[in-house]
Amino acid sequence: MSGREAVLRKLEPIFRGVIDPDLVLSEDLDASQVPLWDSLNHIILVVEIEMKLGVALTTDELAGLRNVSELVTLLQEKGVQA
Amino acid sequence: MTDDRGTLAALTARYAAAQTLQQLTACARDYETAGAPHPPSWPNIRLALTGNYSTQFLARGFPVALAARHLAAELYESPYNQWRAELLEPGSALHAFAPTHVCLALTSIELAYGSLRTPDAIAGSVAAAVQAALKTGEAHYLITLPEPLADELSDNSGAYAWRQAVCDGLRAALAPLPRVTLIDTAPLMRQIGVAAWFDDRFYDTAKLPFHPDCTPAMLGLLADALTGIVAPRCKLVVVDLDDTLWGGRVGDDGYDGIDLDPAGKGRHFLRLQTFLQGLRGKGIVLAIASKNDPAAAQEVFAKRPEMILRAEDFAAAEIHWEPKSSSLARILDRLKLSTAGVVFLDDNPVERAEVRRRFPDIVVPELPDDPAQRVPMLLGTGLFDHRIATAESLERNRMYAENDARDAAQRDAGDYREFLRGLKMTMHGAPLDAARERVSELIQKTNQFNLTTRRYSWSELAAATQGGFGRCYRLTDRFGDNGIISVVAVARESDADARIDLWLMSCRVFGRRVEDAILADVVARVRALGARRLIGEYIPTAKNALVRELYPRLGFKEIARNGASVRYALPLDDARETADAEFIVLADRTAPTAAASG
Repeated sequence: MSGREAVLRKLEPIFRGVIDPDLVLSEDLDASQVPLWDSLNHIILVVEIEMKLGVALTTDELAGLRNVSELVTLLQEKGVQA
Repeated sequence: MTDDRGTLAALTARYAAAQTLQQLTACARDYETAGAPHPPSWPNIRLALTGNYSTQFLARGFPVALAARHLAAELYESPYNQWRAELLEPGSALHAFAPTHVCLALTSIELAYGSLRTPDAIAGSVAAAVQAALKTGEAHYLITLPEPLADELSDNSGAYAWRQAVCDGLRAALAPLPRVTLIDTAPLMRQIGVAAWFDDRFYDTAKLPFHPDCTPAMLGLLADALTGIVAPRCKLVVVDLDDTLWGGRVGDDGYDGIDLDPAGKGRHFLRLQTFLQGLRGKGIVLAIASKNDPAAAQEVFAKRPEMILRAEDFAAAEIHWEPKSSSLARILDRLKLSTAGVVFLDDNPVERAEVRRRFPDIVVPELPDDPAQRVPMLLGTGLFDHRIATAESLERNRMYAENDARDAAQRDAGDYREFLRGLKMTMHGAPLDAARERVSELIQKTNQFNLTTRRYSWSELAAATQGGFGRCYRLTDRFGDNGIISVVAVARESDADARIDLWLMSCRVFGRRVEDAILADVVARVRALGARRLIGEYIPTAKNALVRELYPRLGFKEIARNGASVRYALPLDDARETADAEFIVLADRTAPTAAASG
């Protein structure tokens, strides 16, 4: 399992808790493809990611992250590992 | 319906446990998916939510939050920051929704940096909008007062003065209006803590003035306030007097002997009084249920300037020696209230149990023994938080009240006997030497249940019981040990006669038929001494009217009268056995003769 894959597997239960219990998370997913990934659920996602993965996002990061690939990259930069 | 009930219970339990926004929205979503189940008996409200920040999370959570409080709600949410137009325009979507309740959620951040800015402009603008809206419909308005700003934490900041001016202006303009409830959010923020509350990132990106995970608490505050208007959890507080409203027992200590010392432990009683006075200011009715001498109790109100509550602050007062449940029934009857929303405060666990047993719906908090812990404990129950009962809500409550209270008032005394039986009282008799200090204290201090009020020294007591005996009695019940509660000294007057020279009892256990059990023990012991008659005396004092009729009630006949003092006799020759107490077990019936020297 690659480092990116590992981060993705950590994100998946968070997305499932907020968006859809059956969601399969993949790197090519972005907010426009997931109807329930709206601005409100996005806030919840951010809060959950910060709490469960122990990272802090800046205001710009928080607003900008609208696709899974960018999110994985950012979390890797912030030291989230397997 | 059974399924619905199970679903509802599970969801409201999840709601109650929700600490984060994710947990809140997840159970809110599941409540909605389940079809928002609720019993038909719940009040239906139409709630419009408007404000100057992003209220969508609150809107999502409201249905389940209200369901947890047994309210069913239809919800309307205004678009972001449209509160002024929504309230001012009679034809707005908000007014078209015909709400029964409107929640106006305001954040300091937008008020301080938006278009209004100055305290005068803010108070004027909010007041004008609310006044216009009050004319348009029948809705009740809940308005949050602007929360503290992060900059207030700095001493040199003008933010504190700004917010105070805004809040003062809003209070002055809005508090006098009917159908308006102001909600102060500052206590909630203090409780959560400034560090957990503020997070600018979420205001900047989502117009959320607090960290998203503060949403459940904020929602709880609003839902509580709403519940307080629709169905107040507390509308009447019935309070005990001795050791609850003041320290000590007025019947024994006198009006000048009870503790209301603001520099000592008395402060905690004053604190409870201040707390109750605050409730009264919110429209909650106060009443008294006390086992006491009414004249002595009134004396405290009349003669102790430290008292914060005045006699006239209480809508009803039941001060006598009957069971508290009867007092509660009478109070409810007089005030035409049901048991819903009634809170009973008493320091005595036995009284609390007696009231609970007869009125399971009445809320009876476990008042801590330590008076210092009582107000914090009561605040922690959430019974009184922001539950601002309006005149209208009290009036509404009155209408469905009457039958309940009447039925209760007419319930027979058999119920009380069963309560006494359930107390599982056991009395332990012992010679006076077994508890010298407590016996001396009772002899010196007891005023109310005291037949002769002879303040004997220990040697005088020994002389008085020469040829007779002295006993002290300890009472235990299922709540614990009441300690030594009664002292009896019997003198031998002649071969035929023994006389109860001294009989006193703590009024804390009065009304529990303890006196019947004590008399049964005394009679057995006097018989064993060979006496044929038991003499009783009643010497009236200013404080012992309570026992004026005690001897006649116990079967004694008057034989002589000297001024106000009365002498009674109970013949022991009769075949008639003095009935043993029905409710009390005498634990150590040591052979009466063996104890005769005690």
